Amino acid sequence: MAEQRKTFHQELDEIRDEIVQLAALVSEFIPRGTELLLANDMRGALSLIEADDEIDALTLRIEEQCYHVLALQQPMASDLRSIVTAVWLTGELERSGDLMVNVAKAARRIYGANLDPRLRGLIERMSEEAARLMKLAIDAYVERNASLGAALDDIDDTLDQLHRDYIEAIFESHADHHLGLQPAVQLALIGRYYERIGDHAVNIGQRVQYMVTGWLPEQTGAARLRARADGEVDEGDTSSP
Amino acid sequence: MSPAASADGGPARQHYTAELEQLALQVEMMGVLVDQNLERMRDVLRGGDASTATQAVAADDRIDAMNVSLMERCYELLRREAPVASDLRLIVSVLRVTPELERIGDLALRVVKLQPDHELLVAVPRAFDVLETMADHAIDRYRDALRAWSALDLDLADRVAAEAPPGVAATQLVEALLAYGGTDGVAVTLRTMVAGQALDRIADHAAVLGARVRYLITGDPDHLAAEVR
Amino acid sequence: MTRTAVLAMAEGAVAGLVLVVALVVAVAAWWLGAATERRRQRAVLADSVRRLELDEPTGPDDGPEPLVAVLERAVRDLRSEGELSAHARGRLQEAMDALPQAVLIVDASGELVERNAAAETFVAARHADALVEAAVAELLDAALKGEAASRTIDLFGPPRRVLVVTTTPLGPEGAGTAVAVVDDITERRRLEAVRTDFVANISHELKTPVGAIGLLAETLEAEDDPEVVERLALRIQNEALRVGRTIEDLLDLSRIELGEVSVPEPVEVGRIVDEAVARIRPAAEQAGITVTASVPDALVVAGDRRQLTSALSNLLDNAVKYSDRGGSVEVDAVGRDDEVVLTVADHGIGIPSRDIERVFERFYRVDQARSRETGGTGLGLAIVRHVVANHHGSVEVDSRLGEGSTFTLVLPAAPAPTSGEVRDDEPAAGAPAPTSSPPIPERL
Repeated sequence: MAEQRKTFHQELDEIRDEIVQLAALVSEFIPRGTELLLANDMRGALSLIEADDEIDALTLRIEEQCYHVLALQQPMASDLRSIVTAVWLTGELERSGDLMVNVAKAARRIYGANLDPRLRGLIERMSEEAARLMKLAIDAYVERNASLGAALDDIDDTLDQLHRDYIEAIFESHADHHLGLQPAVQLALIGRYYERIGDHAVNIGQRVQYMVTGWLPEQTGAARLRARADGEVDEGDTSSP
Repeated sequence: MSPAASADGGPARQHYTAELEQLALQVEMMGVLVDQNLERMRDVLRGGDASTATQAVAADDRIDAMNVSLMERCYELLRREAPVASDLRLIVSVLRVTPELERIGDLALRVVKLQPDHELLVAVPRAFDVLETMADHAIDRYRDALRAWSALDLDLADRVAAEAPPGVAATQLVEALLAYGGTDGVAVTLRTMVAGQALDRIADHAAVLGARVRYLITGDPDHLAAEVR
Repeated sequence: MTRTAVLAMAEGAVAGLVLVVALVVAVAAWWLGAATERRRQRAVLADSVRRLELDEPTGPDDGPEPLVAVLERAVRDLRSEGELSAHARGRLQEAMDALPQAVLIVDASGELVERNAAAETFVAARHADALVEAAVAELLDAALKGEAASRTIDLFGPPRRVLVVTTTPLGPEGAGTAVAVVDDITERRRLEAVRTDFVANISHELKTPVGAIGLLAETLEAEDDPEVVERLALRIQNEALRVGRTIEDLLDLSRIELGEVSVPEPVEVGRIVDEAVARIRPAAEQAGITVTASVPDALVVAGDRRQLTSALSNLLDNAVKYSDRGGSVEVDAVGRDDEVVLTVADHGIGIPSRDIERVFERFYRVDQARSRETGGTGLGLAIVRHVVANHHGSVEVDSRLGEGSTFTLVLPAAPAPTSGEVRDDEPAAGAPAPTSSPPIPERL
């Protein structure tokens, strides 16, 4: 029994290490995609798009491993939460990687467009902010730090604000005829990709919170519903006599 | 939906099979709740009606509650029954699918919550048209995914999963907004883009649902690969 | 590493031998009482000595004592050898820890058995280091199968890093172990890039104008129209000026690179700021850019006035060049402890973060086209860096695309006047420095 527990926890550790590796691949994608976008690097764009296969393969491997552990080990409550969290995290990470693939594809579409410095600066900052959020999310996961996980939602506000400034800057640049319609459209979409990576990081933070505490954000909604239901019963009670 | 009808059924076994059936059914119910809220979302988007928006917010709490209860059921089953093969697949699929449904509900709510700014949403007619088309498209995709789940329809699941993300609509949306010359341009754009992004993502999540259904039916990990395209 | 293995084996042998000898000696003591037994004791001890391949004592056959002495000496020797090997092991680990490269050794089952201090980063790593850890594990696997392997990993950071992982099989195939070495070649890569760029740039910077001059002179020869002749001559003059400027800067740079600050003398910061601002004034006016300076009284640094003025002029020159018409440039100086902090801030186009590490290199230009337009030699910031190094100071840049750049020079303040007066109350030697230079009005 002790022997089995040990291998089980080894398997859990392995899953965690692979999640960390997957997250590192995705986190590298963020500055890499931004650099190729700002440098008009078409070869870089192609190689990033191809490198996404590695992320997909690792995602599948982790997910299969999670199912394997679920089937063979009969994990208990908190371990069960860890495994389910790992499965969820693979989804969030893999989609974040896809978003940077989208950035690389958009970079190919706006090849040669002249981006003014302010736009470039905002893209750099959105990229840095998205990468920072992703790193914090993974720190929260590795350290099992529920409060950091929960804080990500507030930290994400910076990225949201940057995104608003960015949209405004695109408008100005387009209105001043510095920026053509097609590049403007692509740039607007690119901004959303970064913003969504931030959303994924926030989701990871919530998942970590769940892993550590067993608390789901949806429980607030569920509690509201119960409170409302109780309230209705109360009203019924008072009206009946 | 009939998961793993087992031949060697003592009463405990039968009870377990019934529980699995119930689990699948409850997912469907949650799916219907989300469906209703998507419909409310479309109404609010079209007409800007405040009371429908309030209803949607309240209904979302029920969706959240179902998500929590489904997750608890799954854990209970995993712990008690140590399921294998197709039973395990069903349970992990439920664990993967309910958060997707919940997320779709959240995204619908994100659109609903724009109701006080409805005037801004309709300020650029061309953009508003695109939003409506996007909403229709997202709801259609979602309904297909839900039907694939309840009928375990592999063909339909295939189609939903393979649907390319509708980049065209998002492009048209930005185009229309950039052409708009009003002084409230940025305010209009930010709201419209929040809505557009949410609708886009509902369609994305529907495609993930489709891939999950395929995996549930076939157990082929390659079908997960399609999800992570 | 095989040396460590041998030493470890020696340690084991010592322990075994100590046991055998202790036993033999105890047995010998027990037998010591009976004289008739002495011959047998001696035979047993002699046998032990032979089996341990020690030298048998020569001389008359007088009992077990000489043999016991031989055994005791052998134990002593081995003990001290054991201590030596433990010491050598410690030294080896220390040497490994001193290596900048990470070294990791696994046994045949892939379990990590040795690592040095630099390798800590790649064990249970997070973020980008986790990718290095994964590559190390993968390549060590290959090495355990007998294949040496190597991979270069580009990390986008920040900070950007280039690492090379190399693994080598050790020991006999199958039962062997393997070693991985992780080498950070970021700096090497950067220097290579600097060198190749420098060679390419210098030939470009000198060849282009020289080529142009040749061509223009050729055209001039065949030209009669006085107007065209004048125009061509003017262009030749411009190109010659350009080459002249580049050569001037190169000479300046090589002088400064020699690190000659003849004899550091007190230099009033206000004076060099005034001088540098006066130098940039015409260019700033022409570009419609306001330059303001604010330098408090009595800031004095120790150094070479000419070099410091040249550094500041170069910073101002850049600030003006990379500002848009109607923009402004601010020069500030403050005293802080025993340092003077000088900042030159503009609100121009800024520097992309991927270039920020390289702007102090010779001929490195963020924007080739713009630089050509404004006639920069590409040496200004290299001069600044060397001047600051000569003065034991530092220079940093903080920049955002579209928002501007701020260069910060930190220079050691000149030692306080020896007269015993408090520096804050009394201006330093010489006439009070002008506190700030009047803003240059924007061109009408």
